[in-house]
Amino acid sequence: MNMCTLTIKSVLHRPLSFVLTLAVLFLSFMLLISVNTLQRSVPLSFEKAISGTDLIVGAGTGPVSLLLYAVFRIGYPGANISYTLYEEMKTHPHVKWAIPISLGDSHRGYPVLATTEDYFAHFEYGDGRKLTIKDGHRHDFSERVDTVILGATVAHELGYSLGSRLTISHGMDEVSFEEHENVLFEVTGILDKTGTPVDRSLHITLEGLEAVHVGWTNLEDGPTAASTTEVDLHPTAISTLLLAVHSKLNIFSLQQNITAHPGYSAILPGVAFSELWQILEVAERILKALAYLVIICSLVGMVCTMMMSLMLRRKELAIIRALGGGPWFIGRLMAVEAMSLVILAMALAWLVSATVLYGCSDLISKEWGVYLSGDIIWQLDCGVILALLSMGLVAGLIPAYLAYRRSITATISMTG
Amino acid sequence: MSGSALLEVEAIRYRWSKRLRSQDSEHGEWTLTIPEFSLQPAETVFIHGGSGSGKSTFLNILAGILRPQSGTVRVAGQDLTQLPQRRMDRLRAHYMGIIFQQFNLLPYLTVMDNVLLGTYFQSSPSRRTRREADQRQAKVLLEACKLPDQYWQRPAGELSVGQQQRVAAARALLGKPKIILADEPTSALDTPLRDGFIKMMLDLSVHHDIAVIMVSHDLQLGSHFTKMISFDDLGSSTPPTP
Repeated sequence: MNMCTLTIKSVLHRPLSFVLTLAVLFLSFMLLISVNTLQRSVPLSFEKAISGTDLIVGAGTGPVSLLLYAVFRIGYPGANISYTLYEEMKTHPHVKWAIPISLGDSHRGYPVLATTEDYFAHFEYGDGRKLTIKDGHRHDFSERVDTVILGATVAHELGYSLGSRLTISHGMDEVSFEEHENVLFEVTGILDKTGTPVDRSLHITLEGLEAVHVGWTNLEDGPTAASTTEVDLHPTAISTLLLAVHSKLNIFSLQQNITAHPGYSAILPGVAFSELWQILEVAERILKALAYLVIICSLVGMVCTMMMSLMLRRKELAIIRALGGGPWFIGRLMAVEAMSLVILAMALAWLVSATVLYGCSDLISKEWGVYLSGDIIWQLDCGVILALLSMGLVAGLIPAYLAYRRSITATISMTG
Repeated sequence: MSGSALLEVEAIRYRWSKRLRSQDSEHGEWTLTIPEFSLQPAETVFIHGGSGSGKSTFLNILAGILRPQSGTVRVAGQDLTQLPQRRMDRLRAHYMGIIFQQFNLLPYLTVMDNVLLGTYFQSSPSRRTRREADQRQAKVLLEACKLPDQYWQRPAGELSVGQQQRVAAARALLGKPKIILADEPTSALDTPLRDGFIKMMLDLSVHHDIAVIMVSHDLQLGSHFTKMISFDDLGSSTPPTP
């Protein structure tokens, strides 16, 4: 019979309070681990929305808002950039590829992105993955004006399939006052799920977008490429331009090249992301502070339960005292109990998190676009774990000290 | 003061502190005074007193659990009132066996573990090697206390009150203490069980050469003991002078 087995047997003798205390501690530790994991994986998930792009070109806005609308379709472009810049960049010797993007219209709340076939050929997300077509094809994307390729979420949520026809509204509101009912677009392709903003986008050609805006109608003329020749659908402006260079060394000279145009800016996605994280840091800190508050609450709960059990265990303590167990022994008994609870809750929380992260990370990244990597569980700050354990220890010392004080006077008659 | 006495009490004064008063309100702010008391080896003493007279407090002082504000309690040549907490606890573990009114056992431990629980605190360098000897002795004592071996591995909480008191007696006797302190050990038992328990406890004590001090309000039990004292003769509890 040693102290540990005595503790275990004593704790199991009070299964309800044991399980409840453990559950409260476990849940709060889970909360902290979740917050910690999200903190690490949210930036990762955001940054995975775009890869392989070296410069994002836009006009009239700061880096963060440019990043937000170019990659996440949040907000509006401040001003357009000229189409000639795209043509210039496309043939620039340093440029590997250039993707023009026009934004601003929507379909039932989902953003419409006008681009060229290069988007599907070169755009990368995640760790260098390319967009792939699940249904349909993209081989006549640049030839037909009225073609639309849907992101996976758009197709799924709105119930579109190949051959469905849809119109595009001006602006980004779900209920738009201005519907461009002149052009009916036909779904020719549906993309695979990526877990990025691509899933929520509708992709049309730049010419298609022009057609929507010049008032050209295909209702009478029929959706033939020939009919487009009647109107000049050549785009003159785009919202943003994604560039990749052959050699990273040329990024800065290219950037200077672009910013020489008044009002134009060219940003490195990584730099823009770090500016974004600086803005979000406050929210992160608040989230973390909340998680710690919850942990403090649950530790107070643990102390309360132990205090209550102390009242019920007066007799137990008196017996141990009578047999020659010192107050110090009783104090340690309490501390061991509290520590075991904290460690057990911690281990459980860690195990469950690891299981979820490893078991469900694919599902989570597909469904919610949050890239979770099982490896994150290994990156949990040792500092956080140590902080939790020491908080648990300190909390456990309170009932331990009380038991110590009380057991000094735990007299024989108390058992009567 | 005879040198052969096992336990000697001299002029102790104990005042209930505020903390205790709240837990034991019946005592009020009274002071317990015991001018003199001594116990010879193998002597069995019955102390009779009404409830609230302070006899339990007296036992707590003898056991070294409560410290009197003044006076001396000498056990095995050492003054308990001067010993540090740790040594006092160890002395209690070695020299004394204590039996309470009831709830003597940890309900979640087996009978055998309960009997052996005290040996954990009788820390000596050879404790590990003694474990088997302790177990052997525990079995002998449990049998002597008429507790059949089918109960030994059962949780103590499953036993009847009478059986639990017998386990408590076996535990008090384990480790060959010099003194057994019993506080109303039979108050929860029926009359036939009560006499049987007292006889068993005293027989075993005599057999093992152990002195016994038992306090009770039940005068009838006194006839079994070699010495009978009224607590009122021994000392007094008085309210403090305002």
